[in-house]
Amino acid sequence: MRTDSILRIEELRVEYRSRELRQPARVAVRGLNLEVAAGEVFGFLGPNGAGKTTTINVLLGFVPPTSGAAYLFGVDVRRPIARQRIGYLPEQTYYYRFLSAEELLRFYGRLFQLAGGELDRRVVAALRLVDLEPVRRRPLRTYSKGMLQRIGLAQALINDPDLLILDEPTSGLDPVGRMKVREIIQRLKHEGKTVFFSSHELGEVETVCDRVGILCGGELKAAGRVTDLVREHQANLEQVFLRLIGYTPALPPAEGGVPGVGGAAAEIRR
Amino acid sequence: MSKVWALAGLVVWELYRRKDFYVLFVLTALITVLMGSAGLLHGVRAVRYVEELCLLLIWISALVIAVTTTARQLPAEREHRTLFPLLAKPVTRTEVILGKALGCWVATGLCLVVFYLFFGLVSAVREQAWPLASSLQALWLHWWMLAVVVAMSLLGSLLFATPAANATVQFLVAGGILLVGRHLNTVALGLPEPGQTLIYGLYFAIPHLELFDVRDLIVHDWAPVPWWACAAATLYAAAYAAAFLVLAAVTFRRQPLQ
Amino acid sequence: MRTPLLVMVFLLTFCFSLVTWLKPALARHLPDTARAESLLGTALGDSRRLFATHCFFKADRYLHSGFYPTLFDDRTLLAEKHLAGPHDDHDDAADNPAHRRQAQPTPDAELGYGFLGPPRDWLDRLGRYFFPSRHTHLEGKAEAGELVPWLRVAAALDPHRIETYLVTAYWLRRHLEQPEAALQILREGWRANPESYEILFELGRSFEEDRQDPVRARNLYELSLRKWEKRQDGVREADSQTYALLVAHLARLAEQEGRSAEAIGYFERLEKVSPDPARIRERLDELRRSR
Ligand SMILES: Nc1ncnc2c1ncn2[C@@H]1O[C@H](COP(=O)(O)OP(=O)(O)OP(=O)(O)O)[C@@H](O)[C@H]1O
Ligand SMILES: [Mg+2]
Repeated sequence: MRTDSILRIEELRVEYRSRELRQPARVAVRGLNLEVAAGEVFGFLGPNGAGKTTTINVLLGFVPPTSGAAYLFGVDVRRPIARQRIGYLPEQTYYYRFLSAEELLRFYGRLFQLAGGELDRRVVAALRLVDLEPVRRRPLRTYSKGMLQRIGLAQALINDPDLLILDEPTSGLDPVGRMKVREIIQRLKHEGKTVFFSSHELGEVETVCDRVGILCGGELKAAGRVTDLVREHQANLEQVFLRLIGYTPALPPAEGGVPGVGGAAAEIRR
Repeated sequence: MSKVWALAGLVVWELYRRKDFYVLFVLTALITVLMGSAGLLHGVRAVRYVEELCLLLIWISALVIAVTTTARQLPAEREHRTLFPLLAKPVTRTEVILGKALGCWVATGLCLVVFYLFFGLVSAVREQAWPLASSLQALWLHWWMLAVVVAMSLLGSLLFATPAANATVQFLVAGGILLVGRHLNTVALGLPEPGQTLIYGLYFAIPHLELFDVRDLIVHDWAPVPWWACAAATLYAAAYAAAFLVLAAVTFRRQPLQ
Repeated sequence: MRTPLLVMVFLLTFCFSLVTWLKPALARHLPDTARAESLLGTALGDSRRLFATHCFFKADRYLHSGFYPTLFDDRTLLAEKHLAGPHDDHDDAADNPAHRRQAQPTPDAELGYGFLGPPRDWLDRLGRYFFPSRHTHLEGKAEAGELVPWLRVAAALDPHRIETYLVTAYWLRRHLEQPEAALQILREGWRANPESYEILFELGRSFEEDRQDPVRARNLYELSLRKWEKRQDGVREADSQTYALLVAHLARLAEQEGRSAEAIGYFERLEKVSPDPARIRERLDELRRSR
């Protein structure tokens, strides 16, 4: 076991019990082992319904593991102190609509026991990072989806976290917005932060990630450096991805084909 | 504790941004002034009648504010999925419960202050006297009664499917206790044996909200309740509120989030 | 589309027949006192009599500064007809308490528990500090004046409740020194209830004591007596007190006007119903002797 691993998942299994009687429980994650080292950018890939969000929910203590365990900074995720040094961006961003961006960030900052000048400084820095300074006083209900996604990123950064857990950070953003997020992730990497993010955007993963993990049907199919995977499978990341999730295209995929489609097809076939 | 206060501040801020409180306050003031001036037109000096009406409206409004505000909190967090980013911060679910309860309680307390200032104005205009000690005591007791109501509603919001169902149940329970709570022992004594123990047990189990209702003492110009009794009632309310909050925290911790 | 329509028609027919069937049945059970006379009356229907009762009790509650039995308390412990009626002298100084601003509500035994009885448990004992739990009566004109609006509302809501007029007149005459207003409300009551001997008797008293008009008073007393005699025996037995008072007043008036034969006749009738016949007999002997 590496001592500098910041995120560690051991033999994780998550079952969702069905509401209907006598329906078998649905297994979302089975036997997952994963480790992310400090300073790494880790891309968590998988088709729709693969169990990415479920894994992230376990890391944040929202969903209890059926068996196995997960640790952040060596602390069991069920203890709230494990969340002191992380920033989290949820898959769908919904925030208190009656607050303005600034008020929202102040509120979350106070939950990290920030106060006074330190809090002011962090709020301004986070707003500046996501380009929301001009609209900081507007209530969130007047924000567009992309702006909400950006305020989500800002709230994830409010405590200057050492580990960022981002669930599809670029979904719903325009190309410029995506570029921006990519830049932010890269900047954080330069600052020595660890980033763990799930995505369907293979191109983005390829450019920013040190390592990737490919999840399918709750099982980890592969994990490792992007370059290693590409070399090992003698194909580009997209082809590797499609092969690993068991998708055999009727037509050979065109160069730069639409990623994510394969996932949906795989889902239907399963 | 600073996290709990941050959460509480959010609730107060929300109530301030929403307009329900203003509506209720304006309604209370309007009805009181209308009824008060109706009495003036008939040439009778009906002080107690206006005071009684005003206090009744205040009690109803405060109960509505407390129950609806509290019943909405956790379901809204779930429905708007704001609970996830919230719990991703280093806060425990117990702290969330405490923060919500404290926020609702402080918010209703602030509303009460406004309401009682208005009541003071009404009685000062009509009676040219302001029994300050009695009014403060009434405010204090009323506020503590609402602490129990808030805690109950918060627990209810974890047990019932919708805020509307929860609010209805809370209104029924609070109204029922206020109306008959004091008499359950009398009722029990008039029953045959299994019923008697049962009802008497219920009498001791329910939070006696009517204890905090000193409206008649104010309206009819009685002296304030002795301070030791007031303190005893405060402890009583605090104990019940704490019990309900503990139950709520335990329930919330055991519930799945989705 | 047809089915809902049919259901609607059926429901309407059903409701209509239910009403035609219920109306006479209800009318048989309810005394015909609740005839809607005003818009308010029509709107509220029979429930306005409930409101009238509520207002009447409210006045009583105000008289006792909030100390009043609820549905659950033993009302019999509170003297019957507690709200001062014309027959009892409720305004005695006997139960005049210290001013309430100094008085705390207290469950102390020495002060008397009234209808509440002794506390049953610690909660009960504690609870009694939080509501008026002592028997006091209003004092002072200004405060008594607050009963009257409630009573007026009660009379407006249920004009056939005779007690309301009697009590209102009592307070107006005895405590508020407004005999004309009392006369006014009694007249209203008489108009609404022409058969009520109680209101006629009160009217007589008003004329005798406030207007100093013994002739009108005597006419009213006699009319009241005739109405009383027209009543069924049940009523007469239940309220022989009014009868005794009526006859006593008539006897006194006759005596004052020097018609001793008539006076003797009334005293003889009084002797039969009086709780203290010996004293009446003395009085009779005196009268006969002086003749
Ligand atoms: N609350 C829940 N109750 C029952 N089943 C659930 C629940 N949440 C997720 N699942 C199931 O668990 C599996 C994994 O879902 P999850 O949300 O983790 O997928 P994902 O990888 O995040 O997919 P996507 O890319 O669409 O976000 C799915 O089959 C889903 O149906
Ligand atoms: Mg997901």
